[in-house]
Amino acid sequence: MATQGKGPGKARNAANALIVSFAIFAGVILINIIGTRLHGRFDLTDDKIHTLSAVSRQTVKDLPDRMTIKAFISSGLQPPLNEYGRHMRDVLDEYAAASGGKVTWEAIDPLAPGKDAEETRTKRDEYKSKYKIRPITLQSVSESKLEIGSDNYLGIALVYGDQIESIPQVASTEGLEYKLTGLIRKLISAKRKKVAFATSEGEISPAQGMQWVNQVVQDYENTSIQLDKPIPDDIDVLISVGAKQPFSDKAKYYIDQFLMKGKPVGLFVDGMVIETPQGMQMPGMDTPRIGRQNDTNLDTLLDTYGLKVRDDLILDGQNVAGPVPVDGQLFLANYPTFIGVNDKGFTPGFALTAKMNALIVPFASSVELTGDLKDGKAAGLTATAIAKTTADHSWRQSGFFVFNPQIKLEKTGEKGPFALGYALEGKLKTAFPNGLSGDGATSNSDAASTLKESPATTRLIVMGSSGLLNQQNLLIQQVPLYINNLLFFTNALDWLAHDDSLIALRSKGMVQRPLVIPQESGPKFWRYFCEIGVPLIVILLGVALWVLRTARRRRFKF
Amino acid sequence: MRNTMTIARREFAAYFNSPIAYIFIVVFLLISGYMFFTEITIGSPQADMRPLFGLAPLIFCIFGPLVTMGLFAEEKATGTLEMLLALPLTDWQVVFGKFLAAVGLIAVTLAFTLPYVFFVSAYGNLDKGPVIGGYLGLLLMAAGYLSVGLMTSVWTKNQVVSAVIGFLFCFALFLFGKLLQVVPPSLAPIIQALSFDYHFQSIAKGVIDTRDLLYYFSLIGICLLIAQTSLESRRWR
Repeated sequence: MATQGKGPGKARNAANALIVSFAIFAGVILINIIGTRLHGRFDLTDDKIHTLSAVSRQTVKDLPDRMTIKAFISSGLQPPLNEYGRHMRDVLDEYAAASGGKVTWEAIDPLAPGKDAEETRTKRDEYKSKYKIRPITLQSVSESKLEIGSDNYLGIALVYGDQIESIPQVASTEGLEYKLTGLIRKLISAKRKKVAFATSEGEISPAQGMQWVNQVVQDYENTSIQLDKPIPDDIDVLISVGAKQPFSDKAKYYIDQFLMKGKPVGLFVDGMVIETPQGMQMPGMDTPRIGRQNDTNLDTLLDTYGLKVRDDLILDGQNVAGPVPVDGQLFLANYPTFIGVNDKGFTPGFALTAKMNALIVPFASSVELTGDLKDGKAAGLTATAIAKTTADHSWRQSGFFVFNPQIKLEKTGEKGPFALGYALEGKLKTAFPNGLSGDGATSNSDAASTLKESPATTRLIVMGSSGLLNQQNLLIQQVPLYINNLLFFTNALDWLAHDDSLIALRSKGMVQRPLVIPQESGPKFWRYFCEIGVPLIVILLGVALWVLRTARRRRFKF
Repeated sequence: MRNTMTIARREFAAYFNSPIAYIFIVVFLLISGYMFFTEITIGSPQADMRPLFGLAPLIFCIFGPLVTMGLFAEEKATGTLEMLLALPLTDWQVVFGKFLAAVGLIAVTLAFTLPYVFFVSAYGNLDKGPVIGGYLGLLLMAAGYLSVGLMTSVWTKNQVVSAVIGFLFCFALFLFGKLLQVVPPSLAPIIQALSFDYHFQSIAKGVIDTRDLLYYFSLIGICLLIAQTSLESRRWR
């Protein structure tokens, strides 16, 4: 009887337990389903890189008219695209919320079938031609075979009035906010600013030596100019990178007058050039590469503004890998000429480099402040160091220099820190108070026609290296840190063009944070402490506790 | 809750009264320390904790079931489980208490890796967000593995069998995130949503998303619920 009595009780218990378990299980699944729709995010990163920035918020808040964003997200997105899709939805939600109703977004599945085949085809053609949306091809497995699929769509089109701008493929979440805000600004602005790259003094330009500019600098229209005639008025920014010939007085005059109009200029000038002397090249053998002064004839011009590019070569123990010639071939090796500037080398709070953590400056010369500007400030003019070398590990090499990577360079001469470039903002005085005389002088360049002082908003950048922008040195595949140089240049353009707001946005999530461990005994000690010392401490703790326990047991015995 | 904490304290002390905790912590630190410092001293290292956060999930996948295998299986084999369950405690308190003890062991283990954080921040500009997220993600992921291991520990008297079954489950959850490129597209999103890796990577970016937290809490809750139901099933037989 007892057994019979327990039987139904056990069954009831079992049933109850199982019902409760299933109910909780179902509840958990339901909560997860609801949780995917109602969710929150907390961004813990220093720069809030996963949260919409103030610039983006302000941009959409200030929209003059309504904007519709079409998010093309195909159903059944393959990983990692589905993660990007989730990120994209979150970002668009934030834009819509920040706009106060001016931005609305809708999700469109380009693979959704229409009422009939004709409608399906028409819609897909429209997505392709009107909104420029392209499929993203990923490999997939079907029936145990690896196949190339093309059924993933993840793109964005921004519709503003009758204008449409697109991101045809969102193949990464990195920089998505920058692209979106950039496109929104492009849609609402009348025209893009124009950057001119000077090429008359042997400089490198987007056509030769700086081809990457075409991919990176999309917010500006770029063009090349010769400085044998006045710089056209439609040019907004003038850039000269790596001049190898002396600037003529005429060229300097045009640069000066461009500045006096309040237009910004960026000069990337090498104080020293490293070259193989003619007649000394021997196939398959190391040929000596010798450093000599790079005569650009800019001294008098720059001196008027309070700057000087020294004819020296700055070397730093804090360096990164760069291309060095060994036995007639180029190899990647760390060398003090490839200066690695980290966050400590940037001026705190300076907009141009505020979000940067690294800059690689190959074969740099120091830039110094002169005259009234020696202390960084003169009447109506401020100078800010763009990047500085380390104080303890950098040194100056002046005069004749033989570049041979197989020889370890000894620290000699004056010690750092050295400024590798300066940014000037304020009123500049002309270097040609009496106008242009001699060759090239015209009635338009006489003393009366020459502008004597620039507006207070004029900006000038002078860097003592062109190597940081040279295509040959940008070994981004091998040394990802070099991507910071591209970031720096685009930041520099924005700063020169008084478009500082995009600088912070561009750097979001793209900033490299280099770990530079000096080859000294201190870091080595801490490394071994972490690797071996900490496990040893755990063992010692264990032994100590065991001894204490054993002693306690003994006390209990007696 | 007081009963749960009493169980947790007892189990936590038991870990440190035997060599298990020390062996686990020392082996973890030796492997992670060697791999971490090797990786941050070659090429162009970045000031982040990715070398640790990349390796630790695999180590926890292996060690999780080993840490939990004895929690119930050993007590079953030695007969002490009946004594424990005869005490005025609910099954849930016993299960949750033991689970908290195992999580405590993982938390202590992770705390011993904090000198790595100080090392990296001394020589680079470390972003604290991904570090906090990474540690939180690791703790949640490890807790997930422990809940799976605890669940399998309830099922058997044999610790080795418990560890092997637990490892198979954990490895499947670990592997899901690595196989996404080779599974059929229709299954990939489901497998991804189930994978530990996917949710861990999301938190390790420095973004605490309630969806990721919900996933881990749900998985842990379900495994502990199954463990409790399995334990309770002794009353039905």
